[in-house]
Amino acid sequence: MNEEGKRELNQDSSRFLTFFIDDEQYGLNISHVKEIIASMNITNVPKTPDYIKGVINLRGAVIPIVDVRLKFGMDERAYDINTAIIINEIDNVSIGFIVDRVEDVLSIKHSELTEPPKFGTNVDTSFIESVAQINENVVMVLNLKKIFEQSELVDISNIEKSENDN
Amino acid sequence: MDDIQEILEDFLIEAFELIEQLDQDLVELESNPEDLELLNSIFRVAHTVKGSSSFLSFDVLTKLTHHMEDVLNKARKGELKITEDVMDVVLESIDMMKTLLHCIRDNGNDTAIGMQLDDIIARLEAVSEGKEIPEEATKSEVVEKSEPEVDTTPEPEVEEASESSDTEDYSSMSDDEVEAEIERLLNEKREETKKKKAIKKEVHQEAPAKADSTVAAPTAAAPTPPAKKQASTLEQTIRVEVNRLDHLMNLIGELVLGKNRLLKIYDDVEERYEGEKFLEELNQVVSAISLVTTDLQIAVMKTRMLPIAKVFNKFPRMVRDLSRELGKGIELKISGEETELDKSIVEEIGDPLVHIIRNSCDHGVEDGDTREALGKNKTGLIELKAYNEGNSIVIEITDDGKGLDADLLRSKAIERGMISEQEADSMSDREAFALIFKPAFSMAAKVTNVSGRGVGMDVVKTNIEKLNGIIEIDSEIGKGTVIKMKIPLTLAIIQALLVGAQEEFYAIPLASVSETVRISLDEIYTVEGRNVLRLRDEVLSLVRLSDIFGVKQVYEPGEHTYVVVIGLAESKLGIIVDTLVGQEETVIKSMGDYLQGIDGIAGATIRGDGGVTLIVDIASLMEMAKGLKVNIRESMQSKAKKKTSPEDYTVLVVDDSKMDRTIMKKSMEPIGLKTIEASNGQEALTMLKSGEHDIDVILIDIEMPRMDGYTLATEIRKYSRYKKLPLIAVTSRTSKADRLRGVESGMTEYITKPYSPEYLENVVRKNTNLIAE
Repeated sequence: MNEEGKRELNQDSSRFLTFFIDDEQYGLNISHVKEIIASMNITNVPKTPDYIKGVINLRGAVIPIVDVRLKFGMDERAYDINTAIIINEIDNVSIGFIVDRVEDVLSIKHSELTEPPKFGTNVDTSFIESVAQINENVVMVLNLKKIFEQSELVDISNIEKSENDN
Repeated sequence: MDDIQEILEDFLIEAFELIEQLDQDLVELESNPEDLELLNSIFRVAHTVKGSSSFLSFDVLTKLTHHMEDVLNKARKGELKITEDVMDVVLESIDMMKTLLHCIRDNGNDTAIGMQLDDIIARLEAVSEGKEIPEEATKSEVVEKSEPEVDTTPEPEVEEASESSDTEDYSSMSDDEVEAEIERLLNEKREETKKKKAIKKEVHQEAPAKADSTVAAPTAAAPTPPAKKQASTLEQTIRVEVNRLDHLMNLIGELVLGKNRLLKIYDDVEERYEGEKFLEELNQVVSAISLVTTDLQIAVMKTRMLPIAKVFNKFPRMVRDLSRELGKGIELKISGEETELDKSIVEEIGDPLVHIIRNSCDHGVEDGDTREALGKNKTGLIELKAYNEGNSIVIEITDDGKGLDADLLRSKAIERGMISEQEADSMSDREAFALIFKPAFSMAAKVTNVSGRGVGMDVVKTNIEKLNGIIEIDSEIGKGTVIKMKIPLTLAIIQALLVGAQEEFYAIPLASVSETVRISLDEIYTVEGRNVLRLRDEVLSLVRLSDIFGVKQVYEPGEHTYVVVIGLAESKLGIIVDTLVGQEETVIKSMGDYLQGIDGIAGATIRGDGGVTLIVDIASLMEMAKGLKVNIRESMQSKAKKKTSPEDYTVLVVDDSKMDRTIMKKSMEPIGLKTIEASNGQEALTMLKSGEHDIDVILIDIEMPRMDGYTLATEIRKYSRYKKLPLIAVTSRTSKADRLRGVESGMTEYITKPYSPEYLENVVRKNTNLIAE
């Protein structure tokens, strides 16, 4: 707690929870991360985009789960012992991300964060807020809000479509 | 500032409560003009509102209520007779008062809507002075000012008093009158004190109080019909914010889920440690908790319950106005108004009832002359009835009007292109009645103020659907119409039927389930591209839950399936599910903003085993079902529909002689079928059962080692999914007895050797529907 307080005070850096999808490392601002849980039974929700895997019961709350691999347009992979669900909370909305493997928490100086490259990765760059070079690795920091907004847009267009169908 | 705000809020709450009672009282007053108790209470409302509004300086409202008070005060003192016309003015002024109060609530002042009061005040004054009401001159048989006919107030002096329109009429009173007035007020006061005392002593009889009041004031100008309604029980209430109750309800919901989970765990534990002593103790605790939870849930539910009278109360006034407007005599009879239901439902139920009652008044009840000609009572009767039925409340609206004409409805619907003639023919009367709920379907010949735009009944349908309610209409021409609405008591915690669609589970609100049936696939018919089931005398549309939700098909469909019959508002639908799991108490949980607005899903709930089950939204499910075009029977009867060319068909040739098999194979060649072989019955049966080949026809020799052809056919027919598989006996046994045995064992065709290859070819073609060109 004390240490955390100190780090909060340190305005030069932020802390990020990093995780892997394939060989690429991503980071999420720790202030939005509520908890990390092992993968569990997910109830499929019909009529949703592929990347929405369904919902889970987390101590009485129903939380939607998004498979980050599918969201980023990668192939689905069978879940294994390393597969984890990161529960994020933003604006009082909780959402879970399925990732291949959770790494650790990194403190990254703001000066180390740079603008994401416009191309050169196979990932839709609009979700990437910034990129940092840590040791030998490149960490891509995700913009959670962007991911949320984009999903919502998809949902709304789906709803409109089905309404037109009727 | 805050103080004023608080006072304002209190004022509004109080005013709205008073007004609610007011409408009821006023209509009653009209039929009972001598009821002083009623008059007094009406007067008090106007007075209270006037007092508070002048304190809060709402000048427009003050002015209006002041004039109302004038009229009512006179009526109260017997100076004014309450006639229909007086009533019209008073009711109108009350409507304006309501509008002003709404305006205050919304805008914080009473000037925002710029209401013009001159006209109403002029009329109120006229009424108060007993003059003819301006612009309503034709109807003014009314108000004889000099001779108030309120025979229960035998005061001759009032004549003089009525001359002055001044409110401070005490000044103009003679000494005697003042005396009398004081005496009267004192009496009133005494009576009230007595009333209170009576309540305190919990004396539930009215009689003593009544007797006392009349004895105590025989000479004075006491109100002669003494206090009619003595409150016999004092309701002890506190006002609680709805938010708090909602929160409490949410907590109970969690508790119910916890209880479900506990019960499930107990079942598991019981299985594992059967016979252990601690199980008994555990059982006791679990049962006690489950019992208390249920009681608690009911208790909290009850705190949210309101008597339906809250909604019903506005209808006497409405029917009165309508009957004046339409020039028909209509009486409204209300019963069961003490029936309670959840607050959120009470709020939703008002509008549908308004529309139904309007409809009954406008289209249902005939005018007086027509009724007389038909030998009916001149005054039409509309009955509004509420009662409990299981976990639902039923509201019935009955009128004794002309009833619905099913044939006319059908032809109207065809005329408007809503249904085809074929559909109309297959429609039962009840289904035809349900047509009135279609949007823009009005039976009224002309659009009137009251109805005819074809919107009302659509509103009814939409609102009742929102509540997961069911509407039924019954009608007989010339006798009247009954509209029955069945609505669940509460929306927060619901009983649900858990069903399985392939590997996934869904919860269907039990309130919408009318029954479940097990049917065989043969009972499903296709009519104009729709899948239907004849269920008793009804034709029911069918959809598969897995088609609606696009669930992955995993299981082989069997010969039988389950149908859950759901009803919503006026329509019914059969949903085919793969399994029925059971009934469970579910608490609807939102899936959050992120997953909102998914078609067909109302929310999620947590199962006893901790998993999440999605709750089906019946209304949107029915919408989705309309757009589905899947031939259930075909898609469920193996994969026959995919077979278009002869190569898709497989023939199994069963014969112990290799040569015979080759001959048969050769005869199949012109058709181009795929053939597979088996050398005896046993082998053939194993091949069939393995499911490796999708076999369409079997050619069977009778004489075979290990298992002969008859036995094979009998064995095959034991499997329900092979009931229809063509079995063709190809044999040298030609006797009649052999043929008979072949039929008995289940052979479809019997071909005797020797045969021409063309003949065999034709028989196979016939049985596979591959007709030669």
